[in-house]
Amino acid sequence: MANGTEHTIKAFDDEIVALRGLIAEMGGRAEAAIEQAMQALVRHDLETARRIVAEDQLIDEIEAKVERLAVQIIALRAPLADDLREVVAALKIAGVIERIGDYAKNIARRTPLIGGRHTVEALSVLPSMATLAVDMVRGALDAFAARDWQAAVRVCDDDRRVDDFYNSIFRTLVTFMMENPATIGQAAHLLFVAKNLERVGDHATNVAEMVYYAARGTPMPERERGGDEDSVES
Amino acid sequence: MNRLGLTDWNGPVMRRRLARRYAAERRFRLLGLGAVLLSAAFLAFLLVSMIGQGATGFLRTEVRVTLDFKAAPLLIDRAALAGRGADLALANAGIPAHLNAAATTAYGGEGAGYLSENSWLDVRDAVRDDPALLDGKASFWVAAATAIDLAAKGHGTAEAKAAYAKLKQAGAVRKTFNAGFLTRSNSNDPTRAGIWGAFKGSLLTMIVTLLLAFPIGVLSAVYLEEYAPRNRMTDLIEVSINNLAAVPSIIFGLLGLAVFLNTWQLPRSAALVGGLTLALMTMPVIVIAARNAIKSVPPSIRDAALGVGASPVQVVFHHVLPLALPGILTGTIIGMARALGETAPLLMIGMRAFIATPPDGFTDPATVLPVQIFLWSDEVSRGFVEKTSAAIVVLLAFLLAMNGLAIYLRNRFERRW
Amino acid sequence: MIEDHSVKSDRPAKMSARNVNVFYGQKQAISGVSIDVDMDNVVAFIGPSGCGKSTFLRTLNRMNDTIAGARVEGQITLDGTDIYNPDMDVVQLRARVGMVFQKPNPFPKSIYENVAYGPRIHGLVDGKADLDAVVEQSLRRAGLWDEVKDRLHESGTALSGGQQQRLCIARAIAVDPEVILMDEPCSALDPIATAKIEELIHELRGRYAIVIVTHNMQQAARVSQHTAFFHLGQLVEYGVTSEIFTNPREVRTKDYITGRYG
Repeated sequence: MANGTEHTIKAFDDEIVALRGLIAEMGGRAEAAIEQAMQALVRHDLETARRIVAEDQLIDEIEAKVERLAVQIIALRAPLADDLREVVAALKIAGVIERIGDYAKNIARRTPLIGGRHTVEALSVLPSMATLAVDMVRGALDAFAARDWQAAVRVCDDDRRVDDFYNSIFRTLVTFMMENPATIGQAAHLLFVAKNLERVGDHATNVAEMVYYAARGTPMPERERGGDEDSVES
Repeated sequence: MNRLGLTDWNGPVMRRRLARRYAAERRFRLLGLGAVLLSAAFLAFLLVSMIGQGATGFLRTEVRVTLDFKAAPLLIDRAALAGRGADLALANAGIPAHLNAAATTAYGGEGAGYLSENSWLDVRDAVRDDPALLDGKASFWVAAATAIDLAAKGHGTAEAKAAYAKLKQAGAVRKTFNAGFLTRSNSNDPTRAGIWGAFKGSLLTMIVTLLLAFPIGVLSAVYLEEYAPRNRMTDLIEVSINNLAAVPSIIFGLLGLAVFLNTWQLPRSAALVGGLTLALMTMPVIVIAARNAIKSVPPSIRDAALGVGASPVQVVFHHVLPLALPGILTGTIIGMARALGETAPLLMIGMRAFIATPPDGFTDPATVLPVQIFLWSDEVSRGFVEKTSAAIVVLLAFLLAMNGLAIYLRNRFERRW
Repeated sequence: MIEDHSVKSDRPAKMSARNVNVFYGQKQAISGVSIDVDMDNVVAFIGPSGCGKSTFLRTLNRMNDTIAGARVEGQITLDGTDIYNPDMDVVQLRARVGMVFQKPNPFPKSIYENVAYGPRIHGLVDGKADLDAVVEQSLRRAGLWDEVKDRLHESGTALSGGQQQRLCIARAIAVDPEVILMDEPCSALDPIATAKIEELIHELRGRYAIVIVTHNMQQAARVSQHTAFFHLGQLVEYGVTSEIFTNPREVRTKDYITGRYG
C-alpha cells in the first residue's frame, strides 16, 4: 500500500485496492482509445474507428462501477482524512476519464469524414500531440496509483506543451484553410480533433490536481498556465 | 495438529457426554432439593414440638371454690380495701385458710391439695376488684395445683388423674387461657410464673443495643467506606472488625463484666449493661452489613452527585445512605435478632437473677427472654416444662416479628424507586 | 478549500490548560497538555482507549480528586483563576463545570427531584415557584420538557436511556454552569437518542463551553468545531474539526482516524 500501514479492517483495504484497480483499468482503456483513434485517423482505418466508438461503452460501464464502489465505501466505511480524499478523488477522476473516453470516441467518429487522402499537412503533427496528451493522462494516473504528488506537478507542467501544440496546429490549419478553401471541411474536423486532444491534456491536468489534493490535503498551488485561455485567443 | 473442524457434534461420544451431563445436573438439582426439604423438616419438627408442648403453657386449669363470707367473714377492715394498702390488708385476712376449708368441705380431705399454694391470690385479686363479694356467698375459679394442672393436660400421676376426673364430673374444674403468663413476672410457682418481666427486659435491652450499635455501626461503616484513606491503619481496623464479628459471645460477657460492672460500677443485672454488652457484639455485624450495603451503591450515583457539586457529606446523606438503607436495615435486624437470642454474655453480667417484678427502667434489675428460658429449663418443678416451651414460643414470635419488620422496612425503602 | 465551521471567538478562553501533567501514583497518565476551551466552539476529545482523554476531562472539574493517588501538575484556569489553587472551592467548581457521564446516571428519585437537587443544595432558588421555574427551564433547554412535563414526579430511572441522559444534562444545566463536560455521553444510546443529544449539544453551544469525549469519530465530526486527538497521554493534535478529519497534520492522527491504528 502506498502509505505503509494497513487498515485494521482488511476489507476496507481490499475495497480501496479494487477502486484503484478500476481507475487504472479505466485509464488504460481511455489512453488506448486515444492512441488507437489517432492511428485510425492517420491510417484512415474505419474498422478500428468503429470499434473504438463501440468500446467507449466499456469505459462508461467502468465509470458506473467506480461510482457504485465509491458510494459504497463512503456509506459503509465512512472514510476520513486521506482515505476520504482518495475516494472522492477516484469518483471525480472516473468522471474525467469518461470524458477523455468521449474525446477518443469523438476523434474516431471524425475518421470517415476526413477521408483517406492526407492532403492536410497538420495531420503529421497530430499523432505527436496525441502521444503527449496520452502521456499526461498516464502520468496523472500513475501519480494517483502511487499517491505521488510530485509526479502530479510534473504532469501539470506538460500541459503547456500540449497547449503549444494546439496553438501551432491552429495557426497551421487556419493558414491552410485560407490557402485551400476546398479543404475547409476536412481542416475544420482536424481542428476539432486538435481541440479534443488539447482538452484531454486539460483533463489530465485536472486529474493531476485531484491526485495532488488527495495526497497532500491542500490544493495544488496556483501556477502559470500556458494553454487554456489563450487557446481561444485568435 | 489440525484438530479443529473435526468435531462430530452428533456422534455417539458426544451423545454419551450429553447424557452424563444431564444426569449430573439432575443429580445436583435433586441434592439441592433434598437439602432444602431436610432443613424444612427440621424446622417443622422444631416448630411442631415447641408449639405442641408450649401451647398448653398458655392454658391453666382452675378449680371452683365457693366461699361463704357471710358464714365465715374475713377479718378485714372494709376501708382498707379502697386504698393502696388493699393487697397488704387482704394478705393478712387469712384467705388461704378460708380457701382450704372450703375446698376440704367441697371436695373431701384431699380438697385443699387440689388448689395451688398461691391460689388465694386469685381470690385476693377478685375481692380487691369487687369488694361487694365479701357480702355474701361467692364462687371463685382459682388456680389448680400443678398435679391437677398436669393431669388436666394429660400428664401427671394416676392419683392426680383420678382426682381430676372426680372434679370434672362435679363440674368444678375448667381450662382457660392463662393471661397471667403474658402479664406476670417470674415466680417459684409455675402456675403463677409469667413472661412479661423477661419480655420487657428483652425490650429494654434491645432498645439500648439498637440506640448504641446502629448509629455507631453505621457511622463507622460510612467513615471506613467513604472517608478513610486506604492504609495499614484502616486495614488493621477492617481485620479487627471482621474478627470481632466472629468472637464468641461469652467473651463479650466477660468484657462487659470487667468494664461495665467492675470499672464503671454500673448496676448489676440491669438492661443498660445488657444492652451495652450486646451492642458491642452487634456492632461489628452492623458495620460489616452497612459497609457491604454502602459498597453496593453504584459509583455512578456518587459521580452524579459530585458532578452537580454536592459536598462529600451531602453525597453520603442525600444519596449513598438512602440507597444503602435497605441493606443496612437488613443487617441490623439480623444482628439484633442474634442479640435477642443471646444468653451467655448476659449470664456473665448477672442477668440470671430471679426477678419477680418487671423492670421499670434501664437500670432496674432485669432478665431477658432467653435467660428466662434457660432458668426455667433448670427448674425442678414439672410445671415449668410447658412454661419453658411457651416462653420459647414467645421468643420465636418476637424474632419473627423483628424479621417481619426487617422485610417490611426493606421493601418499603426499596419500593421507593 | 476546507470550510471552517468553527467560530473565531471574540470572548477570551473559558478554560485554559497549560502544560498539564497527571499522575496516578508513579504512572504518568497525561503529559504536557495545553488546550483552550471557549464558549463558541464545542471541543471534542478523541483517541484510543487509555489515551488519557477521559482523565484529562476529569481534571477540568477536579473529579480526579476522588481517586486516591491522583496528582495534577501544571495550570488549569477557569476565567483566569487556577482551579487547583487552594482557594478554589472544589464543590463550587463542580457546579460551575458540570459533567455528564458515560452511563446515564439519574438519581433514583423523581424527574423533578433530579433537576431540583443541584439548585437546592447550592441555594440558587427562593421558594417553590422559583424552583419550579428552574426545573422547567432546565428541562426545556435539555429538550426534555415536552416529553416529561406530565410525569415530573415519576422516577427518573424509568425513562429511556436517551431521556435519562438528557435528564442528566438538564440536571447539570440546572446549577447554571459555565462549562459542561461530557464523557462519552452517547456510548450507551441508540442512534436516534444519540442524534437528539447531538442536536442538543448543537443548541447549547454558545451558551456553555462544551467539551465532549467520544470514541465515535463521526460524532466528534458532527458535534464539534474543534477536535483534540490524544494518544498515550499526549495531545497529538488540536485543531479545527473539519481540518482534522480531512487533512490531519500528524501521521498518528491520520492513522487513528482512518482506522490504521495499532
